[in-house]
Amino acid sequence: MKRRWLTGRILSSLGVLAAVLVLNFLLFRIMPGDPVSTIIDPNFSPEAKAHLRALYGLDKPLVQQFFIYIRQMLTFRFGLSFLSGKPVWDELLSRLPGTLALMASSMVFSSVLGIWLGVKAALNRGKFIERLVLRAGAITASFPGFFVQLVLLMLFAREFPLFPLRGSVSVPPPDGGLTLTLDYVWHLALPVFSLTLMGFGGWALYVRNLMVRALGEDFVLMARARGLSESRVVYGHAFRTILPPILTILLMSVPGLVSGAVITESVFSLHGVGTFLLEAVSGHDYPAAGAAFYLLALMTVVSNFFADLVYGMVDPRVRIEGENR
Amino acid sequence: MRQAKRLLPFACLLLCAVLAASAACAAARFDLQKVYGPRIERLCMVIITNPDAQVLAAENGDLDIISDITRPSDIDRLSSDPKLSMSLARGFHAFFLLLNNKTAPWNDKNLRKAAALAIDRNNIVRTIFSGYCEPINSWLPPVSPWAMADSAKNIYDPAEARALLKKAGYTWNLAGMLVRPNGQPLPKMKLLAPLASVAPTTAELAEQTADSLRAVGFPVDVDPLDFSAMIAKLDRKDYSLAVLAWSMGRNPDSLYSFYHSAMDVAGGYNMTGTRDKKLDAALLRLRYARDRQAAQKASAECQKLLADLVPSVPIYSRFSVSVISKRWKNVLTTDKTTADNMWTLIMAEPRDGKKRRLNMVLADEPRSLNPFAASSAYSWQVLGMIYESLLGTDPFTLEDMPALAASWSVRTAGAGSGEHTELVFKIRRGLKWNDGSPLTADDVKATIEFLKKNSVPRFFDSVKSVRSVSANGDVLTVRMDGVSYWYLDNIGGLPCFPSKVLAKISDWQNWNPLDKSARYGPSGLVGCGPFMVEEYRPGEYVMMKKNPFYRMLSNPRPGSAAK
Amino acid sequence: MSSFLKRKSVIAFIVICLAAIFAPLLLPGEPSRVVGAPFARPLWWNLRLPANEEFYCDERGLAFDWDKLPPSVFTLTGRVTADPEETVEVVWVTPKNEFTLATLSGQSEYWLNLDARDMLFKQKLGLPLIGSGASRLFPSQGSYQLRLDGVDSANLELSLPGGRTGLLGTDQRGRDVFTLLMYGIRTSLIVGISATVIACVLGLAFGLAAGYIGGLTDALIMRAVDVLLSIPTLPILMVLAGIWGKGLWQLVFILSIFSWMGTARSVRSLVLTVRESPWVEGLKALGAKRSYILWRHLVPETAPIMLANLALGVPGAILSEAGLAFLGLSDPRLISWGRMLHEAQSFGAFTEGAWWLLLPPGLGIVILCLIFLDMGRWLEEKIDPRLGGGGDD
Repeated sequence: MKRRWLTGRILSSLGVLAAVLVLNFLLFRIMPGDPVSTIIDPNFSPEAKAHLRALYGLDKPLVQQFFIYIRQMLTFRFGLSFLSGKPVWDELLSRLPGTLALMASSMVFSSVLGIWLGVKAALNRGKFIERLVLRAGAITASFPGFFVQLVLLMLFAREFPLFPLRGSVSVPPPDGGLTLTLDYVWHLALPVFSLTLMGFGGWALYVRNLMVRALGEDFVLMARARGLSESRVVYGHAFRTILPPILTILLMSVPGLVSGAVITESVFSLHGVGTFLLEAVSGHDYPAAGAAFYLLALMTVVSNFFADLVYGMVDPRVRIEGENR
Repeated sequence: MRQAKRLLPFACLLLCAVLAASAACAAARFDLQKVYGPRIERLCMVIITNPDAQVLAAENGDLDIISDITRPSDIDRLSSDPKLSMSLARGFHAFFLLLNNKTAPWNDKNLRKAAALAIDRNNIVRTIFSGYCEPINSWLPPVSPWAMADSAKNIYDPAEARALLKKAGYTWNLAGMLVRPNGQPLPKMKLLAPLASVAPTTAELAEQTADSLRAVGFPVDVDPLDFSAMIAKLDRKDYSLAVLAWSMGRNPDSLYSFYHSAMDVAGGYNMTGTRDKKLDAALLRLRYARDRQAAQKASAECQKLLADLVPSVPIYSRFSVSVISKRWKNVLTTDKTTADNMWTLIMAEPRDGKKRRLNMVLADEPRSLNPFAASSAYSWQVLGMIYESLLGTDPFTLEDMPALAASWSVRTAGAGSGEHTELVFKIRRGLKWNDGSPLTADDVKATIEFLKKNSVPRFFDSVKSVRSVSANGDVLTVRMDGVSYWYLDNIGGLPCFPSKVLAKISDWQNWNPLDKSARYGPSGLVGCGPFMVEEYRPGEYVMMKKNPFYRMLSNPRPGSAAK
Repeated sequence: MSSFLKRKSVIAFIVICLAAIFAPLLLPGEPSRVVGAPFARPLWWNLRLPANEEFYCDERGLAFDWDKLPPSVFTLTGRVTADPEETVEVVWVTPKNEFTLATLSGQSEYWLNLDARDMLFKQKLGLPLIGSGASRLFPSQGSYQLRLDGVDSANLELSLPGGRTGLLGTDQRGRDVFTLLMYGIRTSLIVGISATVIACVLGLAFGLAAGYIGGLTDALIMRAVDVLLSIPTLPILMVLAGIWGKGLWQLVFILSIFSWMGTARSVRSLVLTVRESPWVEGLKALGAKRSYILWRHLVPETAPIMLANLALGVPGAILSEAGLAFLGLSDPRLISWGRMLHEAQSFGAFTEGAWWLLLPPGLGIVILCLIFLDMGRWLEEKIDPRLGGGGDD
């Protein structure tokens, strides 16, 4: 039973991946223009352009380009970027650590803070703390992101020069493991702070609702009637119930870890995957954009799969229902 | 007689005064060949993508040079900072209104002229750029030594435009829109404009241009498009009007690509569809001019014809404004180049005498430092400091000046149909690469042959007409196919690479010169320019250091006994 | 219902809607009209700066006192007639020195168009080329004169836009920010609401189909959801915008394509639970058709969730539009708050310290989002009374 469900999910994940691959290829080819046509430079004659197209492999028939693309994706050999001439893998790898550090820490901080505040709010119904959490959460979730970040940059990097204006490290970076790590942390402080500020609100509101519903369930009433301590009831029973949706959402935001935050990167001049993607798309850089999209799709499909698995493990109802089809 | 005797000492005084004055002027324009430098040990190109952060960094003192500031509010703000000095010069940027010469109504020369007269360039310059650009009426940038004298004239004259339209038989209806001689009103026309992500001002420029045209009676509406989509439409000649900005070159031979009928093909740059026999002939004479005089004559002729034909309408050219911190002295600014030029970098010294690093801004990630594959302006901002060419550019006149070549000549050899241009360069003696090995004419020969053999796209057009190259001692002779004065700049502008490095490159496309493992080619950017790369940290900075073997370091140091 | 209408957020919403409809009719000018100097402060801020001044003069010239800081722009336009033999001189007299603005001869009629921003003007007067020309023409407080020598008749306008204009100042082009703000409400509301409505309708349709019909339809729809979730939104939006072009409705359509997945999932799970319930079984036993069950029973069941999702989804759409506009991907001809912020940022409002350009649209977005979040919360509480009691505004 379980094996059939598992194989079913794996097959459908592969199907989704295949659909995404084809869609990505078509989407780029439909977009008007190609990487060579937008070069307007009298020192670049049509002859030179034709030559460049041949180098990029753009003069081959579309079907042949498609098969080259599929082979590249499946073997993870993404070739050279059109815009820079560098291997796409190298460029992605140089950007991943910074992006991961930024997004992972923001996600951890905003989710932990949000969950904690949400639980606190749910436990203190009608009191000031709940109102404060709800209002603060709503307000911060409504900020336009770049606005907050630019204000923070001006305030804390210029008016009160406490934080750096740009980048992930000082120029030049300090020697020594500890000072270097501290330098990185100092540079990440403002971006992570801004992302956390804008992210915790959504978590807090969502978890508060979940927790309130969970605390109103019959089994909680039963547990209280049995005389269990309040903390056992809350953390042992109610919180455990709401873990599955929380974990699902955490897993679903894993692809977001890698695609980065384009706006944050542009405001703080960070070297990230988000700007890489944006430049690749606007510059018709097919190898780079194709590779980035493919990796993101892979991560999404894998994390969806694990999310379903986790939900299935924790909530038996889902599995049984799935089998009744 | 006695009067003459009294006048004589006075005349002598006058003569001395004049001589002294001219000597003073000559001293102001010093001898570039005797410059000593670079005088700094380290130069750091800091990557800051956020323009606000760039301005803040300059005010903080974290950044010493910002090149090309575009926002007028930044220019005004930085100009009031006592620690910074600003410089302004004409640039190579130009903004054009393209007209589709193949369809009505723009196939009529009078209407094109009327459109050119109708555009209120002053208003555009004042409102959008706060005055930091100039109206132009030239198809070459006014700063180029080849541009005509009246290239920066504002020809705005709506009354004259209306007179021209009347002469062409047009009338106006009650709404103020034009009516053709046959009684039909002009159909609505679309003005294509690229979207704001590249240049924020383009949308407004398009609107103002359309407003000016509507004021004279042309029924024009703005249609913003994705840039690639717009270029595709221009290529197919599927448009009526379009606005486009680009950076032009110094040499007028680029006019051939834009206005010759042979370039009116898919993928060609003749987006206006110009097909004029007289202009074609003049452009061919320009393109294949055999020497400087012929080139000058043809260039003047082409520009005159263009001014009469008006295939496209030049609107304005942006000034280049840059900022440099007052902590540095020996900054070179001329009326043709701003402070952020190579000479400043070579001569700059800290005013207080304390050794420090010069910080310059790189507005975006260079991504690749492979000189064969890299095409972005930011890569070449870095690579341009590492590699030198045979010819350099004089910052005072923008003409060619000796760099690696001490002297050169252009001559036409052969006869009849076998006529071809021969370039002869005399390479300086005692030149060295930044690893200490000697630079000879053989290296330049190897460079040209490498670029031609591998059909490197970036240099394809420059070397495609090379027939043969020979190096004899320090004399390099390049024989070309066909005759053209512009071959001099094509070959003279090539960056030069060491032959021993070129021989070891197995795959120029995949080569990463900063890769220590030296796959596909040797590790290291070996050039002969004033600086070399010390460290490239992607996304953060490119740290450059002084090239200890740079040729100008063998000039006498200023202040030391010399003369 | 009356308790709904009494909530502050609903009142604010009604006020904003009224402003969106009526303000464009009541405001004096077009949003694209230039009313003052670039980056002018609001009239009530920093009274040392001058407001807009305009002087008209004839051949007798002008004389006036100036007791504030220099204006931002100096423009002298108009017509002058004189004898062609005479040399006309237009002289600007300041407490410190004199500037000859123009020297003309040889014609009987001249049209002046002098502006202190022009490079030629600055060169002629010997002013530094970089920096404000107008501020050098007003070196100090005192009396100023415009003298016309050798002139028969003149009809000139001296326009001195100052550093203060309007209720909320001006933007980088000199357009009134308050007008732009009012016109921008419309766009933000229309985009936010319609994108969410379409997304909800799509989500409802797909969720119902997937949940009720089941089988292959369900599998296909859920896989489509997965595919759409696997594509990073921002680059796709760029691609689609490139293909379909810019415009209000293209933006709405694009935003809604990427927002229906969440609603579809929750509708589907609701339908799954309800489908097996006894009363639906009963309806089927009575012979009810599938469409009847769907329309008359299942849709009303999902209605509360839909409304709540609607209200909660609008802030997301508004913020997405702002984000897209910020990256320059929206229609430049459309006035929206996101676009105002984008233009403010790309033209240097942050370094100028032009808070009047940044705070109003930014706060406007925040307030709109809060209003919808509050309305959504009220709806959620109505559906699930356990959630209530957390404070009401």
